[in-house]
Amino acid sequence: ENEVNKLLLKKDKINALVTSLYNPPIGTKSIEIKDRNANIVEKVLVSVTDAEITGLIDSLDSESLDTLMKYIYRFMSKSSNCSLMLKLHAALVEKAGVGSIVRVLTDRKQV
Amino acid sequence: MTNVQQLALPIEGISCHAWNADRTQLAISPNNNELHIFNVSNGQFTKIHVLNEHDLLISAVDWNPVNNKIVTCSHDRNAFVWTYDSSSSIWRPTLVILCIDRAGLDVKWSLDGLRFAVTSGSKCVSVCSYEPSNDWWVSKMIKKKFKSTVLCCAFHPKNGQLLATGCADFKCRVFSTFSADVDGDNVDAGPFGSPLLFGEPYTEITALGWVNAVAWSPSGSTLAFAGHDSSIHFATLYPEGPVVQSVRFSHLPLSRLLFIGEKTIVGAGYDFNPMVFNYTSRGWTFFSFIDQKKAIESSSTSSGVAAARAMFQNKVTRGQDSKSDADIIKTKHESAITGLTIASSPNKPITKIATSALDGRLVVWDLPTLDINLNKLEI
Repeated sequence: ENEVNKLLLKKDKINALVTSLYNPPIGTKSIEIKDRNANIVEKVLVSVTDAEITGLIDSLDSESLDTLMKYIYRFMSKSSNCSLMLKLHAALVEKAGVGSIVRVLTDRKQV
Repeated sequence: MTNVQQLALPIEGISCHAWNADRTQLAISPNNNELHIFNVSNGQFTKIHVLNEHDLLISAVDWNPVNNKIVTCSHDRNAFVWTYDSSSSIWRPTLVILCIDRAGLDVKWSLDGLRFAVTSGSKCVSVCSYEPSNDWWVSKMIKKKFKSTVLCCAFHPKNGQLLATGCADFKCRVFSTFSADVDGDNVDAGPFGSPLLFGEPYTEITALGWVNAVAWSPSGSTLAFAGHDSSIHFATLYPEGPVVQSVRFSHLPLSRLLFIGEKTIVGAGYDFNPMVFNYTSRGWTFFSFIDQKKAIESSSTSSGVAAARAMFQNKVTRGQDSKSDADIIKTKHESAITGLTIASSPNKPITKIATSALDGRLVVWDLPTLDINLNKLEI
């Protein structure tokens, strides 16, 4: 968490996103850990401006793209920052295609 | 040049299809309890038989090239083996009692025609072999390990004793179907080393979604299975355990797989378009779609009055402002593909594949004449 805060302060948003998406807590059953992780990811995403979205998404690898898609759906279900989430969703689908949405729906390991 | 045949009504769709040994006849089920047999000559399909024994939807059909028998399995929990009686020119059904209490979903012959396997929703696979003393087919169940519906199965291409199954509990397993009555003393474990008894699993590989389809490469050394999470996994089998490579792709999941060479596989699914994957030095990757979407010459006119009229007409017919390209379906199939088979004669290099879909169409793709660069594929 500290790492992400530091990177955000330095305005290095790409790396902040990469770090926050790295190793998501899909195995744990503890809701607390999942919530904390989600809050960190949300903080990073909120600080992203529209123009930076495509650059940000291009820099992620395929696993991180799938994880990001899972987080987008999680935030949308909680109705937080939906307009931003929809923009991110559109950009992600351009890059990763319908397959990433299918993976969010079929994967049992929830983020 | 692809041959598109509308063999069933678009509201019915085709649920499965199978060719006979020399590709002169085709059996399809138009998503109901009937089995239609067509005679194929010079690209013309004529219906010659309609077979009506099943009570519910026929979910899978397979035609064995060795003994010319057709086996069908259906949602009515039965399977029928059809034998052609040439003296009276009709197909005689033989009921196979499977002892399953849920629908049968997939059926496949082993290549030597000695047995067939039926997968079902009752978490088991029924392997049936012929008993000549009573002139009927005896079924033995594989019940171990399955925790959910078994969606698909495939026999090893050289060895009828290995059966790969894909299950809705996210796993692909290979079982032994060795049976002393059928195989005698020839126990063959293929790439696995030591042989096991009937119903014992050789290996178990996990995917991240329901395993919709499973296929062996022609030499039997690689097993491919497609997961519902838009992924396809390739397992090279060794006695110590499989080495798996997973490919995640950005399209809708596949429901059928077919190897057309040792290093090339075609998958067809919910995208209405078969996809080709091939193996290069970097591993398995997506190569191209088979149905290349050509740019449709837009009929929108450039002159002012006609364009305005077209716009208003679109608003009336479709409720839209302009002719959006995304609405026109550019692929040959207009619905999910349900069947994928080899349409060129067996024992020769594969030049044609056939796909059938829920839009009632059967499309025969002539591979060398398609627009994709096949030279890179080393078929």
